Amino acid sequence: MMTKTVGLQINGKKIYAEEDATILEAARQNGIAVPTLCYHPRLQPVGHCRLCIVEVEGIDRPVTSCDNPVQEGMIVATDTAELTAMRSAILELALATHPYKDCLTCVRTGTCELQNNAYVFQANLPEQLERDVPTGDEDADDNPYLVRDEEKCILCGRCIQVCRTGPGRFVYEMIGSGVNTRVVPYRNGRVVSLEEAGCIFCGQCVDVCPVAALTEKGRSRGGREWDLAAVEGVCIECSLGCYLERQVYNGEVIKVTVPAEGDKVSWLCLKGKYGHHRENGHNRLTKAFKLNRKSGKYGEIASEDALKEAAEKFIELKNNHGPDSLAVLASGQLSIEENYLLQKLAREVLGTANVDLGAEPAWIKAFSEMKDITGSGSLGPTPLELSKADTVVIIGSGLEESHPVADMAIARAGRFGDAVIIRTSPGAEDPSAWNGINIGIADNKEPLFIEALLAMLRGGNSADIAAQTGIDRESLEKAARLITGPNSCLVVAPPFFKAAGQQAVDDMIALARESGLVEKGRSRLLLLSAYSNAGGVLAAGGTPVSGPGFTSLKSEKGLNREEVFAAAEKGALKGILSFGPIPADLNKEKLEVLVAISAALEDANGADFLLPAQDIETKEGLFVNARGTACLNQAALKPAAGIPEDWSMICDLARRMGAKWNYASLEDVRKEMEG
Amino acid sequence: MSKVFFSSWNGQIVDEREKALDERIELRDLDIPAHFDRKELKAMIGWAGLIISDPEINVVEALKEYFKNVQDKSCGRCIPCRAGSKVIADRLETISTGNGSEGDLLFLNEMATLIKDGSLCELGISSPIPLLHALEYFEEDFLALINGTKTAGNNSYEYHPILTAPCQNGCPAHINIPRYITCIKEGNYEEALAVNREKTPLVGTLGRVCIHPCESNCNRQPYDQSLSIRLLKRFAADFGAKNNYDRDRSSPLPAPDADRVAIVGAGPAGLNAAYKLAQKGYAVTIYEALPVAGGMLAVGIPSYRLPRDILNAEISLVESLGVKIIYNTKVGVDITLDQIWAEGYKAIFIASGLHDSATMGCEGEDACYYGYMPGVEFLRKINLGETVDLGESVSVIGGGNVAMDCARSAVRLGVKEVHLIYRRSRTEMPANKAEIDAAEEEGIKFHLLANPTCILEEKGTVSGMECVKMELGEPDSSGRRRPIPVDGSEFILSSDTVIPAIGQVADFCFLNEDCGMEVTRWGTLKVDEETMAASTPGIFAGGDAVLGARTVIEAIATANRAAEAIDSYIREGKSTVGNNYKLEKHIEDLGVYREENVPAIVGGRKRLEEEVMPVAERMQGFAEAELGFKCPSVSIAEAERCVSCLRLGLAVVSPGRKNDD
Repeated sequence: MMTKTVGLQINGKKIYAEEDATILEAARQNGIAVPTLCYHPRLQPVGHCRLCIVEVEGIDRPVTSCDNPVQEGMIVATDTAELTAMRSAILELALATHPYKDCLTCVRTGTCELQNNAYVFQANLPEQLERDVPTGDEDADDNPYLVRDEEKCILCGRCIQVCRTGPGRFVYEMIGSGVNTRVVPYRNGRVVSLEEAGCIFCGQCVDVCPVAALTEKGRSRGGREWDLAAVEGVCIECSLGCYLERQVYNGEVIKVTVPAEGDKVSWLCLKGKYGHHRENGHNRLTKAFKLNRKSGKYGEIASEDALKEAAEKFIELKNNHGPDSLAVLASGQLSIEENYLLQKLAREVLGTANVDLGAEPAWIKAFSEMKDITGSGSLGPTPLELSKADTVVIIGSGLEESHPVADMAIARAGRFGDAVIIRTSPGAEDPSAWNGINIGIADNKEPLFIEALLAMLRGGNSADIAAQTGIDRESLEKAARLITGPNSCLVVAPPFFKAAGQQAVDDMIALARESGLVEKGRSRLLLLSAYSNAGGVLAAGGTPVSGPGFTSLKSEKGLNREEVFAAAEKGALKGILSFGPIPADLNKEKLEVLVAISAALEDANGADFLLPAQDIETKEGLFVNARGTACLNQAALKPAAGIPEDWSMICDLARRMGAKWNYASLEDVRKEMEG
Repeated sequence: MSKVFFSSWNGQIVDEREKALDERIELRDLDIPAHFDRKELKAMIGWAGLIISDPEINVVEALKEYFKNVQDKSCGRCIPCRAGSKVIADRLETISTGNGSEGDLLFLNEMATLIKDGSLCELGISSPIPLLHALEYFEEDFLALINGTKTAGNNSYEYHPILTAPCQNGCPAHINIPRYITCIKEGNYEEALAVNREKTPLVGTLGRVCIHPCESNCNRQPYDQSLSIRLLKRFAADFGAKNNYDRDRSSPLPAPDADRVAIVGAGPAGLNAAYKLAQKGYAVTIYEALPVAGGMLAVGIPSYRLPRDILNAEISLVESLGVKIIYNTKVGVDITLDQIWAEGYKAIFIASGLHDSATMGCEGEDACYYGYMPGVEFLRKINLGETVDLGESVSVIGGGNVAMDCARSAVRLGVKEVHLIYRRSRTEMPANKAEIDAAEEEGIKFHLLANPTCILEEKGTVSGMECVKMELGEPDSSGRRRPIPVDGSEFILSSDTVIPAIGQVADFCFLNEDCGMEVTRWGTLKVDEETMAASTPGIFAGGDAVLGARTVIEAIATANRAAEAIDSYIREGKSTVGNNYKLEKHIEDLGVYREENVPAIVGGRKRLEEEVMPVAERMQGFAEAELGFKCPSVSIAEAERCVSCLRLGLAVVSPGRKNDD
């Protein structure tokens, strides 16, 4: 369906633009340059800076092009002498309230949008107007993530808007008047700290700031803007697997950003934006350790020796107790190539079917069934699609902590869009949406809601169903009606997958199918696993019920993670190899060997051997998110000395166990996977 | 001094500077008020130019004060206004202290033009106007200061700034409309609600029933259509209600020894005065004759226009401030004013409204026939849940909102034949156009240019009316054309029930000769128009009881003024209202909405409409018929049409007697 177009004239040139395009968009699409400062492609235009002003015939003063839609027959001029003079004067006023002498040492030099405009206009440098605003303090320790410098703020309003429409928070307000206007974290009539104002440190305000009023803490550590090398990557802190770019300088990740426009536009949360900070909080593991079971103390050991001893122990157990006494686990932070190698080690080298590399059985079942229905293609809505849905049903609580980016998109849909938000929740939380419905239901009782909805869709009587399930009748009727809408989405959160049995999953998929959410080639069902790269685990065959390439295993099924731990406590399982932490409360008395490869010393939790794992920043690998989308993570940094790459550690271990593996590079692994 | 020395207001240059004092024209000849707050107006600096009546005024000084105020009010979002106004204020200060140079004049002109042409909202667009006029017509004054031939001199003037907008000024309660629309635009719906709550707790109510005089002042009208201000207010209220806005915000209760105020009537005026007084720390008690609070909001307006849960939540809000409502207590019958005084109240606010029906002057209307039910009584009965026997057909007489409410309620009660008889034509009907259209859609049969002359009965039961057709003659005192009966055009209109809804009158049974209160010839209480104080000290009145049958927002405006006056009366023994009201009134007299002052914008953006229940469905019962904006994206899109027509005025007066500001 073609959108309606509108014909107009810009600088004497006849152009066509989409009906709801702004004059600015129409100009830029046609190669006509118009200066801007407060405009941002991801945000609503607000017309604050006044630099984008143009002349429209019939209107006797200039108007902003960023927030005025085109109209048929409009005659626009963007580059008259008067406009240029006005823009220069406005820019000069902006510079009069900005400490441009700091350009010499400012971290934004080179990408600062004010500086760029000053350059393009060859602006006169005016005297500073006296302002009563505090200066920035990079060492302020009110938070470890971002630095505010109000002296540099040009009051463009982007941070205020992105905070409200991205994470759905209300941290910032504009207070004061005239040149003393300030953007501050504000609550209950007072200027407060960011945290008190409800900031979740997602960093989106930093990402959109045109100047250095908001910068990442530690940004001044090094690297001019043009020195930073952007390395494409993916976040592995949750199963959304958001695209991001690590900006590297001198062997360090200086900051993490996302593109402002283009098809890779993404949002980040605290975990994605500041994930590289985590080493600050951990005892970063750089060496291998061995546990002295008698004394309970750990001693250092060379990695090769640890691998040698562990390999020997595993083979010994395999020979004495059989392959079923062994298990290989991971917590979902390995790449698809690593998962492939690890399941191969488990199945072919150790001969065990007990492989669980990070995906809940219920999630595996649901994802596989969804994939069967849709065939290929997208397997769930993107955050952007979620934010534009007209109904979002969320089953399972805790999205705010587990998948903040999805939560942000839903908040946006409910507060600024057209969406009815229906959530299951144990408490009477504020929906903070225009049209929010809380289906009061205890955690783990979500299958009851699904059952009820399914019954409604199949023509059941709402009063009966309400009585049987204890769910409010009016809410049920509304939910059943809305979920079948043309633009509704269903989001299933980790708590559902943790507890759901077979029937619950079947019901959920049936609900998705019968309400039209899942069909051939398309799915509006988003299945969020508690594990990152759950899609990759499934594709690589890292589950006890499936092999590589989504092949379903009928006879050679193994134990899943929970079952492995239960068997270990009983003594039926003797040896576990785990990438990622082991639960602290696991009773390890009857385990004969436990090998943990992890990033932090506190993940040891009684493992016999603790080996350092590779950081995502140093890893090259393919990751597949909960939507089945694969994304390549490039290595931004070289692996730290003494920490072998995960994939080569797996190969090394396999060889020590007797495998004749000979992968020269990851390419070889990928070739084998494809073949 | 009430003569014009110089005026450039609204583009009309009146330069009397060369004339002798007694030759100069009067300010009132230009429709400019000569006094502010009972003091002589020396000058008015504002968005449409300069008005100077005192030749001693130092124009540069006055403009410096003006621009200091612009800086003080500039919201900071756009560069030209926030930085430019400071540059101008600083430069005027420099000139004023004798440190200026001639180049400053061109500089000021250029900066003023930049702000005027480059700013985001009308504060920036309009505030340079008086400066540009001054530079053009008072250049000598600037030069005199620059050359040192004159010094600024002793400045003993009082400057009274007022920041308003045509919509805000048009609102009787002066709710800060541009501010709450900007809040909605920026996604801060809670703050939008808070802005409304500064003036009233009845935000959801007004968002449904207000007749929105603000919208008639909207500057978008010459371009496309006025903003849907009422629906934006409704959106803010409804969003807050859906998200438990009040649950987490508590207000302190009055102290145990707080001064007490009594209020007669828990209608909108009584409730709003209680709200404002409670916020100021007073312990308020409302005596309400009916078993419910809300006045006409509860027993006049039907629930399909104002759902009871919305109204009741807002009444609860008032009670949560510690306001006590005593029901079923009619002052004048169950308790007298003297008895109220004896309870120790420091002031009484009378807001008893108009709950009796006006008579038509029609034969048979006093005969108490069965089936003859005044509209006010009919609505009260059904709103209080009483069953009413209407028969098969109903005739409603009148053309105002009460008449529409009666007719549309009859439809919803299942009456198949509902007639509306009105003595003038459709265009003269005072009801909201939306109500009239909806009434027609719901199948009510209009008999326009007709009036009943006699109520017909059979055995004491109404059987219909004898009516006569009317034609329109010359306009009467209300400005509408007087209806004149057409001889020989009588006709009979049968119906089982007749409901006259042609007006409301007061029941002043609580007044006696001793209380000293006067009743005007229109049957309303006489009070000071500013402070709402009656001639008896300590007694104030507001709402319909004072204004006649008017609107909710006007009742609220009187209540707010009364609350201020009661507060100053109790604390200082003198009833006064603050400057803000006086300044808004001054601006109103000056004329705040004029087509020639409208800012230049891109037009062609239609007003967005609300969702409405389909006719067939809404006639089934009393569920809410109009549903507000569908979702936030619609509200934001409508809010984005707002141009923020903020205007700054500065009244310059000489300091008179000490005033309680």
